[in-house]
Amino acid sequence: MLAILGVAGCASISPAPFTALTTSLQELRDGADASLGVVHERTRDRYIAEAAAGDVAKVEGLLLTQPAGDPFGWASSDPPLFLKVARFRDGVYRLNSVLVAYAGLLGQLASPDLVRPEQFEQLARDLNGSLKNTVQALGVSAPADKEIAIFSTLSTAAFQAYLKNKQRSSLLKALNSNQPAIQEAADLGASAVRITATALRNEYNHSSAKHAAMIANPKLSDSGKQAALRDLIELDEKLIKEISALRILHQSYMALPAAHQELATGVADPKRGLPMVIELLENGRELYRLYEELSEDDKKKAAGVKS
Amino acid sequence: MEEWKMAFEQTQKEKVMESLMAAQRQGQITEIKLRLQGKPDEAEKVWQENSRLSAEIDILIGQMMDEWLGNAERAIKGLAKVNTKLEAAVAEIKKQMNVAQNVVKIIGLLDDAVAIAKKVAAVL
Repeated sequence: MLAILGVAGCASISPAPFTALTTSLQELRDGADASLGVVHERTRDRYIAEAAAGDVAKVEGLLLTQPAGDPFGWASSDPPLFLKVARFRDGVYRLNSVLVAYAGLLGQLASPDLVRPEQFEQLARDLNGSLKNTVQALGVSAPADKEIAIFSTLSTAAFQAYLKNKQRSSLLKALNSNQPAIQEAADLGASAVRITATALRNEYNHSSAKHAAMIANPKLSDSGKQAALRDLIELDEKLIKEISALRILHQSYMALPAAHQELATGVADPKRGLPMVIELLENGRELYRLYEELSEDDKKKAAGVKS
Repeated sequence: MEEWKMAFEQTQKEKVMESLMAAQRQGQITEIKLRLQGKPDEAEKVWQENSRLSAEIDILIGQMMDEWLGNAERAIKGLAKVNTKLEAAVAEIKKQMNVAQNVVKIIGLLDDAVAIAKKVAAVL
């Protein structure tokens, strides 16, 4: 009994790192989706511009056909890049969503609410009341109320210790056995960010070259050249911010396996620090700040266009 | 404790893509220089060559995305299975708590049953 009570008395699992992981993964999901939203919009706009400029193949690529024997399918002679980006964006979102769900479930398993002390106090009270009545009803020589109370408390404490232990061991088992799956998902996430950065840079290369060609046009007035230069500078500033956000996203995916590993060591030894979990959380905050800044820039630009 | 790699290595495809994009960028810079030097015909030729390279880059980006999706589908399915197991672990602990609460309730019901049985016995 002393051993059981010893287990019951051991340090509780702290839910805070698990909440931090869920929050960070939500930020990762939102950040990746926002970046891919930008890539989708730009690849689509470029496609429209190229098709409108007389690229026949691009117009043909937009004429979807039905694959033989598939009433719900669609096909394109040359699928536009923006359609591939849309599918890719959806896949990245789904991968991040299962990661968010995973972190949420770890949080549930780590939650003190799962094995709440109040529940056991109530259980002990109920057991105490029921036992006293039952003993009296059976007409057996009744032990003292105090003895029944001690029995109720001890048996409930033993059960609480058992459940707490089960909670801890289930959590540890999950964290340790899922480490390879998290490593794989994090590698995929990092690879998705690098592909996104490539696609984003590709769109930037096209737009910036177009602006530079305008500046090189001898027929353009000085004020026209200045406006084109201003647009080019804005494009550069935007790319720098967007690439910075992607760099943070990439770092976060790279830090994820170590943060996950830290959670397991933290459950086993609560005195250990959680530097990678903290890094993930800080990256999430920085991402949020960068996206807010980018969204403010877009709002200002939209307001400028209107006026 | 195992050390987790923070650095990453570019895949062969990523390296090829980087070189292609560097070549494309160089082509764009050359084209702009020619335009600024007042050589539009030469600039147009460079632009046309670069357009072909750009089309290849678009195709490769699309392929990289398709390939990624193929790999991600397997990982998504694997993680979904992991989540199902975790849900079961949470449900198991909740179930055991419910079982304990039900046992206490049954003890209470037993008390009522004994009282009824005693009354029935007294009547008989």
